[in-house]
Amino acid sequence: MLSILKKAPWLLVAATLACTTYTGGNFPLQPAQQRRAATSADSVQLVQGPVDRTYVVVGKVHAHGRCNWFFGFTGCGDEQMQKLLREEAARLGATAIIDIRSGSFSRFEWSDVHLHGTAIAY
Amino acid sequence: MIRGASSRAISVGAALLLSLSSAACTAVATRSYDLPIEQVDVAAREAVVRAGYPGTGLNAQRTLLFGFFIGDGGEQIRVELVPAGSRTDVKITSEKQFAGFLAQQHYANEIAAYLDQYIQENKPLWERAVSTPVAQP
Repeated sequence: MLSILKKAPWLLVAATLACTTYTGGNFPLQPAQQRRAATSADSVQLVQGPVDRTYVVVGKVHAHGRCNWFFGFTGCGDEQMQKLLREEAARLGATAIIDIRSGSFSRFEWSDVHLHGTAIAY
Repeated sequence: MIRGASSRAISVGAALLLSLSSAACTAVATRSYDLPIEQVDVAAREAVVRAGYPGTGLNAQRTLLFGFFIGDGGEQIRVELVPAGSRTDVKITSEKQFAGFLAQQHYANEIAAYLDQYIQENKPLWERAVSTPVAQP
């Protein structure tokens, strides 16, 4: 019993660290017959600025993270959020993501971080 | 005497909590767009994800999380789309749940604002998605 009490702070920290959630979504804009096969998430490029090649819009992609201010500092980082965005785009058969925008809001000890963009295929 | 006073204080506190929780359990926001339901549907699902709801459905509950001082999540959202001729009417209902009630907030207005944003943002994309590939200078 005493050993559990001694470990209590660490258990609390571990529980709160676990309170970082990631959710994502992909929304195809193409008609069903034009949809593409999934691609690899590693091959999806994040493009800032204008695109100088021909492309077709495949859909919209979102990545959302919720972290705790005190213990969630390891979560909701740029890398993790971009990885999630790439995975969602790959499911749509995209080769790149353009018009990437971010947003966030905070309440009490919680922060919500959001990225969304337009998935395209060259 | 003291026992009676403390039990009275507890019952007053409980009644206050109950009245607080029942006062604003539900919030509703409405919108109407001159667009087909398919286009509004995509923007509505995006808006729900943008507010931190898991999945891509129109009925969802924010994941309940435990914090150091205060938890987060548990709020429920329901988005109803009703075709009305060439228009689509939208009703967004946000509900707070009993567990974690004090830390919860309504997301109906936020989702309505995101919906407005995505409707505007998606208009040119719908045309591009069905047309032939285009080059951007």
